[in-house]
Amino acid sequence: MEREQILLKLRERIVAFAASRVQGDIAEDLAQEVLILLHEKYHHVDRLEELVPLSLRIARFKIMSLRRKSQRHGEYTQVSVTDIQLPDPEADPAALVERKLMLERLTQAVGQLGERCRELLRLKLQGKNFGEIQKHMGARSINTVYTWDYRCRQQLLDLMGGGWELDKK
Amino acid sequence: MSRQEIQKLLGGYATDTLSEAERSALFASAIEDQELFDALAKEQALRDVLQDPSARQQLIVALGPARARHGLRWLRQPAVLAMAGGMAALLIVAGIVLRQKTHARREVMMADAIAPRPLAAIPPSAAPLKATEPDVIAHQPKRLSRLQSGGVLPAPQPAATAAPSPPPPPRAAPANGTLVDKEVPKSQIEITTGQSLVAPERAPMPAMGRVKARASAAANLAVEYTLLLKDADGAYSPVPSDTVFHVGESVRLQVEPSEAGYIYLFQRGDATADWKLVASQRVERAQGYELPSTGGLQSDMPAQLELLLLLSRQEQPAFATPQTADGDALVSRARASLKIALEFR
Repeated sequence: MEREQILLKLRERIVAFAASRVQGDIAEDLAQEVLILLHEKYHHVDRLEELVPLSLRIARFKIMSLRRKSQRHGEYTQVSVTDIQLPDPEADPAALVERKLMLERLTQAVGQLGERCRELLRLKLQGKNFGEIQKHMGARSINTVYTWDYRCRQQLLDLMGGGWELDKK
Repeated sequence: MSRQEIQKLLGGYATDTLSEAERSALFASAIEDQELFDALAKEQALRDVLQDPSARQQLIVALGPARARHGLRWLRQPAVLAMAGGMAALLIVAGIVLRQKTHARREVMMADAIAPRPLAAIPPSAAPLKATEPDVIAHQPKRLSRLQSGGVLPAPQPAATAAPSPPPPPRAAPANGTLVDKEVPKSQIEITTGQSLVAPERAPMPAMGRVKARASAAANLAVEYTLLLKDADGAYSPVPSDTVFHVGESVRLQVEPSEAGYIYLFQRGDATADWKLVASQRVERAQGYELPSTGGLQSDMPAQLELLLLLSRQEQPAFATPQTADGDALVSRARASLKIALEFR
């Protein structure tokens, strides 16, 4: 798939996703900002496997930024296209605190998982892919591992209250 | 992959453990499927956290110790353990039976290998030992001397000593001087080769240079050694263990322990002198080492040089300055020991 086609699809997906988090028109703008950044700063990235996670990351930062601004000013401040700043790769203090809190919640939650889920998650955190996990855990097929992982992820999500991040609404 | 299967790949996105094919399948589906894209976007928060190695490590610690691998868990089953125990017992019994059979066969070989030969049968014109060396080396038999645990192994015996009784032949005086010639019970000597220990007609065959000194079965330690003589080129070459050396010649021992540990080589000029540490070395199992690693064992005058080779599992710092004429005191601290005599003329 060509880069342009991928970006078009991504825009559609990001708008829809952002609309579930912010107002519709802002979602459009947010998607546009993501695409502008992809175009200006990451024009060399053209593979689907790289563009999708990159766009998701940028979109997440943008949404977080919008929320913080709304909270700070009590209103939504639109950022014009000309004022868009490149994101600082270093996490800001607020992001650091959010990560720290999330890690604490994760740490508590993983301790309540069953033995198989703990083992599965440990192997994933050690960087093993599903094929390697299948061999390590002696699963008959890789689909079995997919199913285990899906259930464990659901269990972990439930233990964390249904989402990785705290609901800020 | 079906949509349902693709959704199951979401768990690998946050930990970044998807294979290339899985990533392609997941992302290709995600840009077409809004629900999947949203799910992926929600995973991004977790992914951001897990990209920090210290966060991963913290979670791994929180997950507790790894459990035994699936492939080994079946070993914990009682039935498997019982079966393994039974098999082990069976193997031990089979090993003992086989060992006994082997011993019995070796005894027959000993009886056949050496016929007692009166000294008178040796022609008085027999060439001196040195003159027959080339032939002798061509027939190098292997000898294995068993040691008592912690005891002193006698030096390799002349071939006649290994002859079966009855009646033991009168012991010939060592031709040109041989290694330590102590009486050794026949049961402590084994011939590990089918080759004859008697040299053809001309002279008694000297024992082979390569000797294995083995501690008792409990200790299960053994040291193989070979005498090396420095030749004109400066290289050390193996010689038979009962070689009589010339004054000024340089000799080394090539040793090969059956177990890792520390090997010590002592020497003394006569039975009343103190043992002097010549060489010590950390050794690994089944590796060959030359002792001493520099220089060689020499005598400036005709003499019998006594050597004591000790193998210890632990380092023995006290061996550095033994200050004792009592070899037993040194031997008692070692797991295996071997006494060797070198005659210089």
